[in-house]
Amino acid sequence: MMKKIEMCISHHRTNNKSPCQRIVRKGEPPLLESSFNVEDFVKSQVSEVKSRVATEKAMIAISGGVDSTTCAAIVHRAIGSNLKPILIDTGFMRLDEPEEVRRALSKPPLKLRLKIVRAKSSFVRALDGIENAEEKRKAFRETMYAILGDNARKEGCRYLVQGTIAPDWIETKGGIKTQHNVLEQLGIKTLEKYGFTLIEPLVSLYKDQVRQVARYLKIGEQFSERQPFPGPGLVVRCVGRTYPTKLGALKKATKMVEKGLVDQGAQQYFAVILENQFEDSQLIIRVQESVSKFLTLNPDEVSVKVFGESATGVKGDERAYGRVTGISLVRPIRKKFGGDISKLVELEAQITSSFPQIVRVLYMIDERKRAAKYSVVIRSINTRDFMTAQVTLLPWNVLSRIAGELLRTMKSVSAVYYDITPKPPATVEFE
Amino acid sequence: MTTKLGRCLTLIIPVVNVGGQYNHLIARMFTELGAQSQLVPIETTIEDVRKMKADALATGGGPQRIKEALREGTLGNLPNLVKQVDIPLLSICISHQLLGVIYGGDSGPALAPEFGPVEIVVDAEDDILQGLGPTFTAWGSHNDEVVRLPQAFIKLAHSENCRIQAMKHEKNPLYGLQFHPEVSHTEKGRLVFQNFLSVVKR
Repeated sequence: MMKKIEMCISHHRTNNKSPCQRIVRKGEPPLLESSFNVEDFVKSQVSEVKSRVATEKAMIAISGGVDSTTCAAIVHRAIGSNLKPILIDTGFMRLDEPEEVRRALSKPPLKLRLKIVRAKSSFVRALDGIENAEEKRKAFRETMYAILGDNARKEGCRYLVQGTIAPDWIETKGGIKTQHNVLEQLGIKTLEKYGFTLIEPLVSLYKDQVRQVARYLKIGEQFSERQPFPGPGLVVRCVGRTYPTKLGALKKATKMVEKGLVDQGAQQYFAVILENQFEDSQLIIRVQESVSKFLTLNPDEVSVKVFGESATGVKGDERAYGRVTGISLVRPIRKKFGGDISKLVELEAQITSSFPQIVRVLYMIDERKRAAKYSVVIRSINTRDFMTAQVTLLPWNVLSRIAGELLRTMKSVSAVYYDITPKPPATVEFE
Repeated sequence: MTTKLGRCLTLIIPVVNVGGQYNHLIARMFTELGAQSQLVPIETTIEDVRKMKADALATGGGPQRIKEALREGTLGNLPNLVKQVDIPLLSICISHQLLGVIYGGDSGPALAPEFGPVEIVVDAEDDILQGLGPTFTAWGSHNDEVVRLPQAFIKLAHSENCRIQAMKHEKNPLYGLQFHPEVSHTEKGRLVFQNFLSVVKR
């Protein structure tokens, strides 16, 4: 007892910083050291931004998501109209999204005037022909920051504010995937390379804490409760090569899936598109055996497909970039097993455990006889902090209603699947 | 006076960052439970830990395969630190495997790797798993596991595909967990940390 009191007194006398803080590795922002207080957090960030930026101008990269919007609200408090909000329309945002974000930001309480820069053709060019997920992400990042750098220079902004949060750099530094908004933590010198100094007020927070800050700042439910949308946008949901017709189909599917799942209590839900090109792999028969054994079915009631395009996962804290498999049961029993998602997730666990090369397992909801170019995957997850994620236990009638609508209205789609893979071993997004 | 005492008794628990995705969540969990916690690098020495006046130490997961990493020396000072530590230790995932190897057990490829939800069967509702029996759902993410229990250790839990999900030293407050109590999807994960804090306060 005495020892502890003495120790604490000497500790409190010397400084307020945690004793651990002194040896935090360079380049890694310290996470909060005591329980999280929203009011203190906002106060300290506002005053820090004020003292760093002083009377200069800062540009903020807006996506319309909760992170960048919350960031904008904090920095706006600090420097007022010296904050210049900009949105880069990459062509990989959802239908009408840039305009909707501009309208929403212009309303109280934010009342920000958003500049939209149309840059679709630059991104199409940068991503043309690239199939590998990491290469796509890096090409996206380079294009994005080159454009941001140009615009910052034009507007006379020495600072660029962005809404990078803790899971972004944890995943990037852990080698799971390159988040486009992680630069300094990778040793990229932004001032030399792009001409601006970064400010990242939320870099120590998790998503649930960002939402607490957003609610405290009263930026509106439309932003504070908005489901996350990846920085590279639909790039990472257009699996493999990206090109206009594939992207167009994905945008249409995204709208239908988001609308169909809005009230199902999921933290994130969206559509993914894959080409119907399959591998003729040894895996097929082994997975088929594994599925029929697990569900006690005849092998001829189960068919398995291995997609040609790869997806990202995380197995044992390591990046896994591998195979996507689709499981299809014959029609009469599809609904029976589809009605028990928990059981399907157990099946998935067995498959991803037995086959190291498989990172995702999809369950066929519906298909059409005539072959078409694409398959659409519905992804829906529940999570607190996006570090782990559970598959949403969606009712079968909801899934089959959305699948039916997709097949009816999109001639280029011949199959719709539900992704039954938690994180781990998958990540939330496909790439 | 009581309030002052209360504040002064804040426990200090550094978390060695072994490179895994969830290391930060360990520190977050401790801080949410009122302790002072932060990540420290894998090079941290026992002297550093003493200088911090740490009351306990936690070590997280990472992408390494333990035996390969020990051979190649890619674990920084962590093996020394685990040997020398004289305060309560909570080691998770590959740190648990490291603890096993250092105390004379063995680590190797799992019978079947576990990713995502796993049902944990509690064999001994001993201090750290108090209130978690008979079974609970935890999340795992591992390719290797402790395949032979070190002599001075007691097995506390297992799962269908993993022989040693939790273990403790028979005399000293040294704990190893293969599953991840720090992720929000592990049922009662917080209780594991509360139990550990009770051990630290003892």
